[in-house]
Amino acid sequence: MIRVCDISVSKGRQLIVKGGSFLIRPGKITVLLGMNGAGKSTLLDAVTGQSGYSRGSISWDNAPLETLSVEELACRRAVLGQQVQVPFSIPVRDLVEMGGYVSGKSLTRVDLRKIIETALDHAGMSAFGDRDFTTLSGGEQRRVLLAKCMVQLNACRRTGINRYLFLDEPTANLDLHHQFKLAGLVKEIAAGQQIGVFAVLHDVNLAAQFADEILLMKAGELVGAGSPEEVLTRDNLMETLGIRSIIHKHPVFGCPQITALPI
Amino acid sequence: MMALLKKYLFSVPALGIALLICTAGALFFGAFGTGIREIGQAFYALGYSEEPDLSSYLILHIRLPRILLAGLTGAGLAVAGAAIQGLFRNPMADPSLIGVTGGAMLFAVGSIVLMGALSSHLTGFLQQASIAVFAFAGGLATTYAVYFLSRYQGRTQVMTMLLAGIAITALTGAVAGFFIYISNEQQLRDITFWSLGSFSGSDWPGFLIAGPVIIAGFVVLIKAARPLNALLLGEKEAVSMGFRVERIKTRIILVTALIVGVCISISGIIGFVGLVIPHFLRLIRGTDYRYLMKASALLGAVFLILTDTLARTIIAPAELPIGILTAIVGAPFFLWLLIRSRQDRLTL
Repeated sequence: MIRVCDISVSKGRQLIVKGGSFLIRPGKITVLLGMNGAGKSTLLDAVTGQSGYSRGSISWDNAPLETLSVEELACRRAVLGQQVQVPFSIPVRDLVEMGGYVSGKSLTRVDLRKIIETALDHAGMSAFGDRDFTTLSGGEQRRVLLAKCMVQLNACRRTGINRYLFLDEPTANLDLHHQFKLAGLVKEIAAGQQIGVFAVLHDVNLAAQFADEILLMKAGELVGAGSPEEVLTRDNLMETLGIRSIIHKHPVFGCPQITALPI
Repeated sequence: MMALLKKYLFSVPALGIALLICTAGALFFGAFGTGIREIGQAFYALGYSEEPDLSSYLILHIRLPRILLAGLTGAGLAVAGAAIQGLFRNPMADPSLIGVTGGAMLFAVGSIVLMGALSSHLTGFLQQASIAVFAFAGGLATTYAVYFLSRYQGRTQVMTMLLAGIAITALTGAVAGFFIYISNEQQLRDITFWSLGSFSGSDWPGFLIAGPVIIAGFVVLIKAARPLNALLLGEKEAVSMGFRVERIKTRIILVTALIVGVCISISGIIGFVGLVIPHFLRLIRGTDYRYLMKASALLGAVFLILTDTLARTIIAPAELPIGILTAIVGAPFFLWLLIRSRQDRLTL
């Protein structure tokens, strides 16, 4: 379990995240919602250890984040970043293989190959293995990068540690079909492999369907946390996302279903 | 079929064999033609430590170190270019971006002009050695300045470094221009020849100094192949994949500056190799640095050995500065490749 305790993050002189506490549990999906510039990505970077924070504490399975080395962290978590631009052409399979660098030489070629093919298959990108990554569409690129994350999480064969997957707007640029497919895949990963997922999302309905816990962020502060039913209320949505809405019950899943209204 | 041939032809073992053939083959060519007998005699003399005759001496002490140095320099420049392109994540990057070329040029030009003013009695050898030392020192000094300027809060900001490199290179260019302005006729000729590059001053001591530096640097850069691959996705991504990116960046900059500094101090400025060789291989085999580093080294060595052989035979007994040839041979070929790859819908 990742325990985030009252952390603040500043960039330059600006305080971007102003004190927030929450938990990321293995096997559960935690979704962070908030408007542009609310500090979501900054918070994610701090929790993953990719950038520092100024106050508070973060512990990963009872180990303070500061005590974990870059290599150790790479074994415990993978991050699907918001934007990746690759300057040179590179075959998809080579890129996905990079996830396996974390294993050093502890993995045989055959095992790594198997992990790579499984990840490509799960991401629905098997047919694209030999394609040049830079020629893929935005959505296809994200699916390849997710496959890379899965390889990273499976390449480190260590027992007794929890693994986490961080996603920064994973569904950006994806068509509806692949949004649901990705969300379903992530849910499967979380439940099946007991991987804790922390995702920044913009789609409240996707969040309502897939999240176990939702965090609401507004202007650098965490203003709400709880199950989708608890958190996704008309007042909360108005305050943190700035939308007027009607909330129904989802006809199939029973989770909240939000209809946004003109402002 | 064509693709298979390309892959086979430019595999690391094939390039290694090509390098061996070129190195051996280059021994046969020169202002002084040699056949298999003379070369056999030369190595026989070496083996039995006999006093070498003229042709043996020429082969063992002039031609062989020159070929080896050309190969080492080609390998060094190509590997440095590949590393810098990966570090800056930019296909247009070459080692001159970190300031090493500009600094070496300034110090070399400065030493030619000022040493000439201090004493006109320096022997050729001493003058050459001092130019080499100054060029090396200048390359490292400016690289350090560029590196220092791009450090902020314990991080090297690559974008700042790129701009600082351009600014510092412009500055060193201006000061070098001033030295050129105050130089006399002879110095001007020296400067021009130095900046066009040549291996004509190669000897065993030069090889013994340059060899270990380039080879050690090469080993370090080969070990950086995986992080360089990861850096293709960006620095943040590379960190999340478990690489200590700051340490690796510093290491790459330092090693590149050392390699390029040594290469320039041996042979003057040889452009084009660092930019084109890695790109050529990228177009054929993709960007995996685990392949690219080794293949760049081998192909860079082959390329410079061949062009240097051409340089010393084409207008024998005189010789052409090699910097002219690398561009004349390399540029049209590279352009042809660019157009071809556009047809094959590959991107650079």
